[in-house]
Amino acid sequence: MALLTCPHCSQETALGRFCEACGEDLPAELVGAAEARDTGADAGGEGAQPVLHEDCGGHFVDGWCDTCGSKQPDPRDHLEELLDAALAAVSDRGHRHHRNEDAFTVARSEDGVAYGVVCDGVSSTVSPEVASTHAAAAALDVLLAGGDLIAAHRAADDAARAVPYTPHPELDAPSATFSAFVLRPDGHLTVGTLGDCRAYLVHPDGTGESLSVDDSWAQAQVEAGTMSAEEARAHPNASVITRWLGRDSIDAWEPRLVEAAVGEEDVVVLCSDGVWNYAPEPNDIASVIKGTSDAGEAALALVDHALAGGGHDNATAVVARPSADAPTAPHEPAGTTIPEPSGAAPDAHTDQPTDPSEEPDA
Amino acid sequence: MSFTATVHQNEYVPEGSGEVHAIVTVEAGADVQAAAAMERNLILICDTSGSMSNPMSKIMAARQAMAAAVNEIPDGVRFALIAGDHEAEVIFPTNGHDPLPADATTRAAAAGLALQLEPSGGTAISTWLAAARELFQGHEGMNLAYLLTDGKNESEPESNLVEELVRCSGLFQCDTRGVGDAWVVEELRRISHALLGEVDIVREPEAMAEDFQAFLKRALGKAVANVSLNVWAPVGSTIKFVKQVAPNIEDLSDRGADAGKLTTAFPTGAWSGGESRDYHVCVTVPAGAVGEEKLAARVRLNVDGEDVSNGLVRAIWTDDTALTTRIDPQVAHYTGQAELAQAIQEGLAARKAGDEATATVKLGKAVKLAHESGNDGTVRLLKKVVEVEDPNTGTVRLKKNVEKLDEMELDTRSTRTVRVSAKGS
Repeated sequence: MALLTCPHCSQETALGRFCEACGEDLPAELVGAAEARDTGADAGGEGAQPVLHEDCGGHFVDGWCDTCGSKQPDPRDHLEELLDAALAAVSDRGHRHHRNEDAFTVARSEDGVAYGVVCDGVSSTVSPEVASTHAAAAALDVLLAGGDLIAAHRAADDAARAVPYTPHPELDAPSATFSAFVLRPDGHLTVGTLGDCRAYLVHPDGTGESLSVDDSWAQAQVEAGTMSAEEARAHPNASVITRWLGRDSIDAWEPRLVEAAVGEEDVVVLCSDGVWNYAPEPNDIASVIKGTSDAGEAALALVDHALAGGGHDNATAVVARPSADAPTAPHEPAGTTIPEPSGAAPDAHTDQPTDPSEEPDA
Repeated sequence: MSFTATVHQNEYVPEGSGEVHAIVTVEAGADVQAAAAMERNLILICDTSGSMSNPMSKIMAARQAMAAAVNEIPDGVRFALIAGDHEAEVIFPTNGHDPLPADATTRAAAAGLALQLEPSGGTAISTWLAAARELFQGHEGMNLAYLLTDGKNESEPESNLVEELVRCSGLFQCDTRGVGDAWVVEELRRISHALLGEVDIVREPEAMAEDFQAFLKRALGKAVANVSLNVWAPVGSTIKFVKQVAPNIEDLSDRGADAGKLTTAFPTGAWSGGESRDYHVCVTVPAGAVGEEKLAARVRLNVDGEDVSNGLVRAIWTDDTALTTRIDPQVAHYTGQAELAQAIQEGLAARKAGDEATATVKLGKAVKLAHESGNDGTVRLLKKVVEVEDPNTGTVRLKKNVEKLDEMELDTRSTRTVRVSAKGS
């Protein structure tokens, strides 16, 4: 039976205009809410039409299948934002993580400037996906308002710090990494990174160039000369990051800034470690996007490559070229092989267009 | 009415496994109040077997305690009194039928009859419960009983009690009290367990009145009856156990009843406003793939057929051992409290059987667990039974001369737990 606690006398009463216990008027919104709740209870949900779970025939009730318990698919599991032929972003949950903690934002201003932000939520923290989402949104807002990358980082850090956190015995405060670029139509590029998202420049000859330096344990070992790059990469601590956004970040931390002149046919790639772990060298990145016809295809190729290689982490890539009107395919010599990540499925990229007619003419 | 559920768990499950543990804290808000129209029925059952006259002070205290309790029953609450020996006698109402609403007249009549209780005969507790069952029959609402005895259930075969408990189950809730040291802890624990009540010891007859009063106060504070903890688990899963773990340990697993829609209902007994209980739920769900996330259980408190709180227990499969090997502090704490109760009961049983070596090990383990978890009440009771050399390692010696009352008190209260304290690691 539909019941309601009367706000006047705190007694339970049946739904109606008046409280049965004290006779006072019952507020219409309380009655409405109670009716909705009861209808919802009958239908097994919050009043909404339950969504069928095709795998088992059950229905999703507040996000979970009422029969097999599966989680209702999250739109964040796979996101694509294809702004134009020269600016696109793709993000995927991957195969081994239960949620997508990466976040990106991209935008092109009216005067043709391309902006991209990638933040990777730190898994060992509370609500990393909230930290990364808020940070990426805040950074883009600052950039679009004319702020520089330092200001964008500051805003991203503030946003991550603002995510609610109740001290947890095992998990740290909400944290994410930061990376962003500003690419002007004239090819002037500024990149800022803090953490282990990376920026690459892919040239028309099919070679790649690294634009960023990781804030990671492995990088610190290499810089200190205690290990070779290879040894450091193989170490269990390799992927531990040394800088991040969030309430336990340090005020003095600033993103590493790099400026570069991007050629008309160069491609800028900004990606999370879930992508570059499967294409660690700049030339590997170049190989993966070889033959793609626009930014969207290139971003998708990078994420698909990570998924085919095992998809062990969330994978996010933003791809940009200086001008939205620039010619299409990045140019590289034929015959470059796609690096095989360990454990990769064979022919992982047969779905990628490699039409020779798209090969460069010079 | 506001109830809340808070879930504590490590939701990360290793590849190939499907066992999920969670502690669910259910709290009734202060606004949880009894509906004005709810009928309350209260039955006090007092042992009047021959042993109650040995010494005479025992029956005298029982009479006084019962009369005093009757005088405290508020107007309108229906009540009855049962005197029990090898058979039961409904001493109030005098016609032996339905409990009567309390008022000045009925209270005075009942108190007068309580003061005339005469001990004689043996002890057949099933007959007492059967009498209570007949009185409660046909009365819906809050049916609560209080059963006080000083001895062993020796005048009937054990099966009588077992069968009567099945008949009573679900009709009323019953607290049990043992007075003195001649009763059997396990016997009263079984009755309380089956009838969703609590067992406790009343060391001296003089303490009966106070205990009666305390019971009455708690009974009158109960706001909602017909409450169950409903556990939904997905297709193909098994509910391994459902235990209440605070304020005391009570394994509810054998009480589960199919409530349809993949849900099992575990009766919890009545709740008061502001009350808080913790439950340890363990389910085994079909193992998922790495990266998959599933709902392993919904733990809902259900009052009169309506779900009033919803706790979600999740499972996320990962190959990251740093995540899967973490034990939730609440789960660890209550797993320890359950081990503590078991160690005490096994230690006392070993001592009774003359196995001092096992008793020393078990009680030593109990001291260590109680000390570590900050369960000071249990540490204090343990210290009456063993000499503690080092609580950190659980090094103890059995005391040579232990009062039987102390052992029984330790046994009875072995299931009392504490919540996670700053001291607990």
